[in-house]
Order: sequence, then C-alpha cells, then structure tokens
Amino acid sequence: MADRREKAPDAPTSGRAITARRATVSILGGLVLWELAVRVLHPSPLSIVAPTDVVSAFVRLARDGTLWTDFRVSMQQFLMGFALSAAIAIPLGLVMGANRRVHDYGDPWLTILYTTPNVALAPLFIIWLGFGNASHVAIIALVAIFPILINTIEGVRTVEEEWNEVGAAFRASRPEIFAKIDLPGSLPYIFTGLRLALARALVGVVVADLFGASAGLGYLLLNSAQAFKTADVFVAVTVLAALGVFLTGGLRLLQNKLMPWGATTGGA
Amino acid sequence: MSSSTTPAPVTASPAARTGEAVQVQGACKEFVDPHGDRLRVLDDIDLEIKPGEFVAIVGPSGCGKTTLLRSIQGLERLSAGTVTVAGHPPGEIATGFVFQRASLLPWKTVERNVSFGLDLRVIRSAGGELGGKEARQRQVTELLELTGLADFRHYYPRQLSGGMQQRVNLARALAIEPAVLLMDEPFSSLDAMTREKLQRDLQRIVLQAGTTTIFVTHDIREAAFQADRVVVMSPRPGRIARIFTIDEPRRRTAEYQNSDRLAETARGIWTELHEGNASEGGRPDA
Repeated sequence: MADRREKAPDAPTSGRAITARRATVSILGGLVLWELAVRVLHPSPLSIVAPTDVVSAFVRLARDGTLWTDFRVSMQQFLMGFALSAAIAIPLGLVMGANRRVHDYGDPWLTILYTTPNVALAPLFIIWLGFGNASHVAIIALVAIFPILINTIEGVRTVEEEWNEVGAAFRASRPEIFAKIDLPGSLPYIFTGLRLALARALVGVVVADLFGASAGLGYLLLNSAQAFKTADVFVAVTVLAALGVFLTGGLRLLQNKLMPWGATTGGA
Repeated sequence: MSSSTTPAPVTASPAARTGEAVQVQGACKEFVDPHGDRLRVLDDIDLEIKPGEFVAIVGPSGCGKTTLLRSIQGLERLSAGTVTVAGHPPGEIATGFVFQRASLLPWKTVERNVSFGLDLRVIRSAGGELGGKEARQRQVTELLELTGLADFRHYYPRQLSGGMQQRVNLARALAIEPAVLLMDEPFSSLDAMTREKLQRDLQRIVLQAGTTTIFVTHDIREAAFQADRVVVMSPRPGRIARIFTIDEPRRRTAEYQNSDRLAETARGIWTELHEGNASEGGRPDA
C-alpha cells in the first residue's frame, strides 16, 4: 500500500508526449501552409512575406549585430522592470491581503490606477524620467505591477479564509500565521500574477519603445514598419513571442522548484 | 504554559490531573442575525466530562453542537456561563481540534503537518518535554505510527485519500498533547467503510493516548459505538435533551460495531432524537 513506486504511473507521461507531438505538428503545419500560400499566391512583399524570408532577415539582422543590440537593450529593460514590479507588488500585496486597514486605504488607489489605461501614463514617465532607460523600466514596471498585486492580495485573503481557523485552533500568533500559512499558501496566486505580469511587461517593452528609443525590439519593430521592411517586422515579433514563451517556461520551472507540493490553486 | 512540570511519555494520560477534564456551566450563546434579531443557539448547557472519558454529542443540525465544541476550544466566546478545561479557561490550555474539512496545509508533508502545532512558539516556549527539537521529532514519529501514517510521512496531503487526510488531521491535533481532543464531525465526508475503520482506529488511538475526547456527530451509530456517554441535544435553542450512558467496555471492537446491542442502543437514541424533547417542532405524529 505504502510503496512509493506506486505513484509514478507511466500513463500521464505518454499523454504529455502525445500533446507535445501534436503541438509540434500544429506549429510546423501552420508554417508550411504559410510558406506555400505566399509562394502560390504571391502577395505584395510589403504586406506579408514567407517564413523563409523571415529566417533570412533574422540571419541578416543577427549578422550585422542590430538584433543582438536591440535584444540586449530590451531584455535589460524587461528584467529590471519586471523585477521592480515584483519587488514592490509581492510585499505590498502580502501586507494588503493580511491587514484590513492597509487594504482599505490602498484599495481605492489600486482600483483607480488599475482601471486607468496604463499606457496613457507612459508620456508622463517620459516627462519625468527622460527618454533613457529609466522611463522604459518605469513603464514596464507600471504595466506589470497590477496583476501581481491583485493576485497576491487575493491569494492571502483566500488562504486566510481557508486556514485561519487552523492557526487560531493551535494558538498561532499573528506573525506565525503570516509566515507559516499566508506566505506559503499564497505562492500559487503570486505565480499566477507573475505569469500574467510577464505578458504585460513584454507589451510594456514595445510600448515604451514607441514613445522614443534608440535601440530595442520595439524600436526595431517601429523602424522596420516605417521603412516597409516587413520581414524585419516579423523578426521583431517572432523574437518577442519566443521571449514570452521561454520566460513563461522559466517561471513554471521556478514554480515547480519552489512549490514541490504541486498545488494548482489559482494557477492558470 | 499549560504543560505539566513532570515529563511523561506520550502514551500517558494528559488528563490525569485532579477534577473534571472539561466543565461547562450555564453556557449560553447568542448570535445577532442580519436583521438585528438575537438568535439563541446554546441555552443553559451544563456538562461535566471526566478525564479519559469519550463523550459524543448528537443532535439535529442547528442545535449548536458545533458552537459548543468551538466554545470549549476558545474559538467562540460564550454569551453567558463558563467553560473550563482541566481547571483553565479555554485558550489557556492546549486543546486539540479536528476539523470537519481536511484542513491540512497542502505545502507541508504529512510529517510537517503533524508537527505544525509543535513548531509554534506557544509550545516551544512552554519549555516542557516538547520544547526540544529532538523531543518534537520523536513525538511526531510516535504519532505517525499510532495513527498508521508511518509509511506516508513524506507524502503531501493531496496524495492521500480523504480517510488518510483525516488521520493526519487527528495526529496533528494529538501532537500537542491536548488536555482534551475536540472532534467536529471528522468522519462525515468519508465513505461508510473508511468511516467504520476510522471509528475503530480512533478507539484504539485515544485509549492508548489516554485522551479525553468530545466528538460531535450527526451519526447516531457512530456516537453510540464510540462514546462512554452520548449527549443528545435539542434544536434551537440548543439544550441537552438527554444523556445516554453506554455500558460497554472500551475499546470497542468490530464485533460490537455489528452487534444487536449497538443497534438497540442506537435505536434508543434515535427515538429520543426523533420523538423525545430533541425532536424538531414538538412531537411528530405517531
């Protein structure tokens, strides 16, 4: 009964393998169809180009160093902005979730700032912080902060509702309830917030570049579009998409590492 | 702060102090409902429970049995009357509570869940026998063996069945060597076979640990099978309608679980619940 080998069934692994195979087939099939359509229908190269054209544009931009510079600049801004938003939102969310008074004072501001289209605030950051890295990081942090904050608050509140009585029954002190119940219990919610924030932060990277930049993936996107270099636009979009996929995967690995119990509460 | 000064092994009776293990006197509890009306859920409850005794409380839903249990735990404050546990007010002495829902912490392994109460400052600062880390570890191991969880100590709650989760719940409550063990319909969400197995196991566990137990349930057979005394409560306002003494030596066995004696006892309690003072809305039609 207690044999631990029992909980290592093979079935889900093969199920996952099937899913992975289907995903690969779907992506490759889509690319092949795209390539064929462009070759057969010959649309204007200004509106759409074939995947192979995108690949050769990628190689060209990678060779002359433009892509690497843009990638590095954007990546730096993204990491700083995302880290800043997490560093503010997680502690603030934990406190707002655990403390009624802080929540009541903070919540109206949260509602106002969250419902304002964050992008509308971007010009303000440019005015305050100039065209440099600082304003980019601030814009990214601004758009990324809300999903983390809201999910963290929600997490702590749900956890308190579910396990508060356990803490009370064992006469745990308030700091103990916070450290031993609220904090680990809200981890799944925090990760959900981080995952949503990640996608928004990538949008922030592009948006910040639109308001003025001298390098960056958004800058590459904007410049290429204005010069009608459609293939280069696709390169920028593809790199951004790949970045999103890889970073989300990284976040998932981190989550599995930090949460070996494998709870999926609040997880998307 | 609550532990006795003389170190004792886990299996010794923690209720071996003089006097009553639990004393409830004139307990009343009123809630104010959303319309501002007062709702009396407990009305002048008197109950004395001896050390080592197993008392079951049955009654229709809404009779305040859970409120009574929570008052003994200190989770609810009485409107009038007093509760003492081993002579102390509730909240000043270690009492173990087993929740109806499996309320285990999903991020802790079985072992860590069981030691949850032991790892808290209240216990550590007590400086008693459970103060040291090794002593706590030993305590957890003993309890895991007692509750049949030894092979599962590194499992996470979600890897366990409902019955196993309730064993962990029980072990966690027992770990702090409670003066009284309070159980709030702990087996109600389990299937019949698991429930009967756990009832027999609970017999062995609380006898071996010597723990005074109060067990709230709506299952008459469950109450009659386990308890020295079955307290039947009447609905709103919750009063004690009658107390049945079950003259059957503990620990109770599977043989008793299927016996006519138990069926007869359960029938008597059933009659009291449905036709006696405890019935809802007076006497039913015959």
